[in-house]
Amino acid sequence: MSSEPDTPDAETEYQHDEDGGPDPEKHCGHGRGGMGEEVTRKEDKRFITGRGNYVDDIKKPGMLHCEIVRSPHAHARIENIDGSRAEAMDDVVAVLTADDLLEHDLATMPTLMDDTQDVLVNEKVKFQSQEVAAVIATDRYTAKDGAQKVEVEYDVLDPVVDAAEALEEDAPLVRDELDDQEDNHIFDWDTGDKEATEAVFDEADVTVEEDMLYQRLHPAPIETCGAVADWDPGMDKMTVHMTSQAPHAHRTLFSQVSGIPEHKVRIVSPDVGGGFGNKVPIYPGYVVAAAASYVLEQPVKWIEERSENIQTTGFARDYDMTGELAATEDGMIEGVKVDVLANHGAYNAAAQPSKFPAGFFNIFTGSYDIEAAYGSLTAAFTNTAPGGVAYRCSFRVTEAVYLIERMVKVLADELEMDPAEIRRKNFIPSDAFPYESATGWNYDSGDYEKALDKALEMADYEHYREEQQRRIAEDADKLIGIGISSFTEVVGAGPGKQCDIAGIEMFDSADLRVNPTGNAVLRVGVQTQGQGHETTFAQIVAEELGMDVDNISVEHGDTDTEPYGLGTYGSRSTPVAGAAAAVAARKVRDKAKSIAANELEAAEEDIEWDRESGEFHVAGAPDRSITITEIAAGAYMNHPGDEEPGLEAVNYYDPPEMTYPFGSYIVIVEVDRETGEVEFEKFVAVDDCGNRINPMIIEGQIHGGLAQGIGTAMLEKVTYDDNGNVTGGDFMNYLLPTANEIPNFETGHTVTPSPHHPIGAKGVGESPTVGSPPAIVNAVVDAMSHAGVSHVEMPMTPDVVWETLDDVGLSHQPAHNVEFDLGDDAEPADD
Amino acid sequence: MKSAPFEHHEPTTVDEAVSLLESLDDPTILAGGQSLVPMLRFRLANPDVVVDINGIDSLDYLREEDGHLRVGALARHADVAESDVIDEKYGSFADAAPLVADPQIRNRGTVVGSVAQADPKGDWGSVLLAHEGEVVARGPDGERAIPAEEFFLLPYDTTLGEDELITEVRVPTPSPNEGSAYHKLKRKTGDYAMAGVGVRLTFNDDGTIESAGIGMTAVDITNARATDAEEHLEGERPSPDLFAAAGELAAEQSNPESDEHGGADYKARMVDVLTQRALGDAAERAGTVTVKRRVTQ
Amino acid sequence: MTDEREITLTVNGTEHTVEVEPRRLLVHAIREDLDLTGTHIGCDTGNCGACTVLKDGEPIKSCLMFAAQADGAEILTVEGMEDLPEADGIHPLQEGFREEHGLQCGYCTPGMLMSGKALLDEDPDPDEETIRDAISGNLCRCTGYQNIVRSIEYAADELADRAAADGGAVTADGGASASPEGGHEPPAVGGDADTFCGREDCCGGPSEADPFDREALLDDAEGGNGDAAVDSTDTAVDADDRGDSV
Repeated sequence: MSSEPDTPDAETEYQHDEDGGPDPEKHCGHGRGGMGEEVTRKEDKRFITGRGNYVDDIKKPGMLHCEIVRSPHAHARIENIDGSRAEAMDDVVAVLTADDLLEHDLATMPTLMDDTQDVLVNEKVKFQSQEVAAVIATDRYTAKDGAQKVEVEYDVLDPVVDAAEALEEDAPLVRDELDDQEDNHIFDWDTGDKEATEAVFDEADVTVEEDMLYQRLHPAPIETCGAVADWDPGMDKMTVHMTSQAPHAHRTLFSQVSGIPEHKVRIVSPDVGGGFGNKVPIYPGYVVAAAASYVLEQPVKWIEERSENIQTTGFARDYDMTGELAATEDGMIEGVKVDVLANHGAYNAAAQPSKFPAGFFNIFTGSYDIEAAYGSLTAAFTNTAPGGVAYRCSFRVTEAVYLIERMVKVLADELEMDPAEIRRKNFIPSDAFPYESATGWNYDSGDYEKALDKALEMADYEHYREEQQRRIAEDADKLIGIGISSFTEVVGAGPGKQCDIAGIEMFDSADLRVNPTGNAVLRVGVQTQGQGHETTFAQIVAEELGMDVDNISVEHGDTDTEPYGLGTYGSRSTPVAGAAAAVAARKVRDKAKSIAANELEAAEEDIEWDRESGEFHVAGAPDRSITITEIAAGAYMNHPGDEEPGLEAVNYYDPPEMTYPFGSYIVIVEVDRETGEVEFEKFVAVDDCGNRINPMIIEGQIHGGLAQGIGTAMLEKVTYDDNGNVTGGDFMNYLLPTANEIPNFETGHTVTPSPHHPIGAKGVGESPTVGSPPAIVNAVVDAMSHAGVSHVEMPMTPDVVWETLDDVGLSHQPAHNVEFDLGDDAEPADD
Repeated sequence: MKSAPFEHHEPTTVDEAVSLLESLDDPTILAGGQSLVPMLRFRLANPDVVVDINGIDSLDYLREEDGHLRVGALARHADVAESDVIDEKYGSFADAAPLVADPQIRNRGTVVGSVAQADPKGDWGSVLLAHEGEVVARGPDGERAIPAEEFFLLPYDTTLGEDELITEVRVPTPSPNEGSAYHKLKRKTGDYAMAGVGVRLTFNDDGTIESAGIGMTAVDITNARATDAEEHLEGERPSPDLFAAAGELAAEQSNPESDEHGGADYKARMVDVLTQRALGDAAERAGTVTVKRRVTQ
Repeated sequence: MTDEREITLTVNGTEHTVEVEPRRLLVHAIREDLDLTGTHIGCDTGNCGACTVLKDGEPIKSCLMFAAQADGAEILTVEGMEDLPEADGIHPLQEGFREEHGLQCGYCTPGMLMSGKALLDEDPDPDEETIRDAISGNLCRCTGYQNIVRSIEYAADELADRAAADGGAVTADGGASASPEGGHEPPAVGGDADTFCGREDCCGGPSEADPFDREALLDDAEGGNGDAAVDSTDTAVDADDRGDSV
């Protein structure tokens, strides 16, 4: 193949105007749908016309349906399973239990953190709704009928659902099957310099401390998990269509679990109805469907119910945190400490790069230049569903950002400083990048003050501060609160030297082929669940090759045809696979250059690439030009003798570093002193994700993540009672916000490119979910901080807010500010 | 989620329905189905026989007649929300209808079905109680009108006979000196009430309160009347203090439990707040007072 | 009577006879018996609205109704939108969702389109609050709803424009082109928004090579849907019969 691709050089290739937007001279006007253009999405047509193809839409001849029998108890030994009544039913084909799976060595599966989870419970149920048996029948309804007829005898045990209680000495032992496990303790982890941090705290003018729970959430994509497994005994091949955010990694794991060679396993992730981290792990349902198909030699479909989804698949968060800051009396933050108790559920099944048991939680120094930092964490088993997935965030960054952004507000209130000013004072200065944090992260680029300034201006900050004071002075019924969050994310996992999932380094890949007729197919190792990859990755190629975006197809999600990649989560698609796409395109361009020389009858060194026109031309003779579309035919029909035919390149991209998107969000709320209801008055989000590929899609991602942040802050929580029963396990009780609970957002942006990324992009999908919850909580706290409130726990439902109001004497009765006008004669009007 | 099998009967007249209820073994009545179908899908309810009354066209009405607002068993929440007569004269119904669940559910779910379900978190029971309405049932022995106050026994349990069908609920047509309102606090659209209060105020010509009705949602084992508050209001002239005292009495008479919708104390306080707010609206709608806020917000 | 019974469903103007058990949900009849998989299932409690279809013109959740209860009913699903009289090949709501980026994963989209359709049938010029309430029975986890609101506003404007162009009654707002709320709001406040192209209101209109131009999509839609008549006058008769016309 041709020479090495261009050295990635974002600074020179993607210049920006003063305001940080893409340079219109470079990126707009050519109309090819390249970088910075608001191209409408290529994938939309099938979705708006009902032609999407989600897992449950797949129908195969002879397809059977799988229904899972689940434990009503959170902690119980299985005494006996009797499936005979179910098996006797006409249309029930099989009842599977752990014993059946043991025969095929499929009774357990590895979690992403190297724990071992029962596919079907072998001896002991460890959380409510755990998978106990599976009924395979000719249709869904019969499968359910059969499941109802499976009789399971349980010896019910005392459960433990709270992580702190789980660590007490006499707590029920969740994992008694593990030889070396004598308690519910999983691991301890720490980061930073403990002694140096203690020293800073000892000498500080001011220290503050706050306890806060980042409650258990569920990603709850509107499509639940599901699979159609199809064992082909003629080909000895297993094809599984499944809701997967990481099809290649899932294929490797499937192969390891099943013993079927990897090249005889095909995973297809068709259209996926949202993932948000929920579809990263492997779940028992997938394995059961595959095992059933293998045993029965018929296709088997398993589609999860919503309640099963929330009650058993990967939850997120559940970090009980204590944060501390040390500062000078004029507000310079000198040290940060954090201690976490993490509830991991019944198995250690968090989804983290394997060297990061607490994910990237040690980014908790945030956007601030803090000299000393120390964090410690203990993880515990409980009788709750396993999880700890990165729900629309990069591996525990959400928890870290929540902690530091809440603590900065706590400190500001303690010092009676403006929360914007204290942030400005402590930001890592824009000229300090690349910046190494006290916990060892290498921030690529940032200009935090610029983003904050823009947000303050958009929010009309000073006006609302005045309005806030007026309301307090007049003892009005609705208080104003203003919350700020100036977050920094760390995304784009990640460099192979640091990051792996189950041992596989977290590179990603792109395979780009330009066809003889001049259009192109890009295949990528990541997978889209709504992010718009079919459009944005095509835009990257359009930009690099001067082609029209409409002539580029993007394929993803099929392990038989796509290059190996680690999948889509942790905002890694653009930082990693987007980079791979750009580099692959540059390789193609390099090769095309030699063909251009051939076609233009000039020496290769005289051929220049004109990004603006999207053409090669001969140096000094701009009219002697040729496009890559025109060159394509030459690559197949008239290739230079010293080159291979064809026009294709592959890139496996191992990122040199993470990327660090950032932003400032300002939330202004009204708090009703009579009821505790919170209304959003204004919601401003300024994001900086480096160079922007498609502003329309970015804005859409920001909106969606902000809405999820509102769900987190205001409504959502997976709850358990003392018996381990899930009490928030369906959409009646796990409250997703509707259009009525979500305000209009005002979005803005700055552009600080990543210096090491080939197109200077950083990734954006998760910033709003990460950055918004602390802004919202800070706003509600801010409405009451004049009365001494320092924290309100999420979700901030009206009762929680009202109780806080009432505790500090801020609650009002309707009569408080009301007068009745009885009219002239107090006579009721005729109606 | 898939229901267990059941027999599906679709009577087209009330007589036919009643005779089915009498002859079949433990039948379940299906009207709007917006609560029942999820219970069937979760197999929390496993009836062998379902009597689906959606084909009884004679029950599809919402009209004023014979001194009553009569809501037929097939009138949907959306019918109430869209009705001109409701909009004009029945403030509590007009307030409550759009607060029920969400638009699609309002298109299918029925007022009568909601009352029959007797979920203490349902809204319509409180509206009926405030208006001193009646539940009209037909059984093998003919028709009877059950005062709303005597209808609700326990959560999901009423005084309706097993072979009886509710044909309508009705409330008296308001006098010109009457106003009503319904206030509800919920965490989000589609969620049940944290607390709700329906009130009706009927005034004497001299501007004093002739009679008051107050029904409370989600704060007792059934929709419940706040009789102490009602008595306290009667004969009095409206004032913020009077309504505050009524709110306090209603809160005292409520009997909420702590659950995912909030703590018991909070719910009781909200009964107080919502009662005061609803009384203010009802008095305004009766043309008696204008409620003014002393300061902006 | 647990046995199957025969029912008739008129779905998207076509009459179908299917055998169903009484317990079979309407959504399963639509998806599995009629293979119209555009209607989705996202929950088991009737909260998510992904299964929303129009039954006799009203939006309902097809997972909260048995198929047998819809015997004789007229059902509209997302697959029928292109054939509606107001569709002109593609329905303005579908166009709005694409132009205003009203979808991401696409799973809630068919239900949203149905709720949007029911709203515009009732109220051709809804304000934002009305739109938000009309879609409050449909959960979306991707978009944050703002662009869905814009998408429905886009459709309202487009329908008003078409009505005006047809010489029909002009709507209250004069059938004017995109209102400030309905139009595409630039994503940036900083003043560089008008430098983005690919939008008519961005940098002087779609480029010549605009691959997303509506005509092209119409052609594709025609090709991909063999018997779907693109000429709106041909389909008007069918649609009127369905009783769900404007």
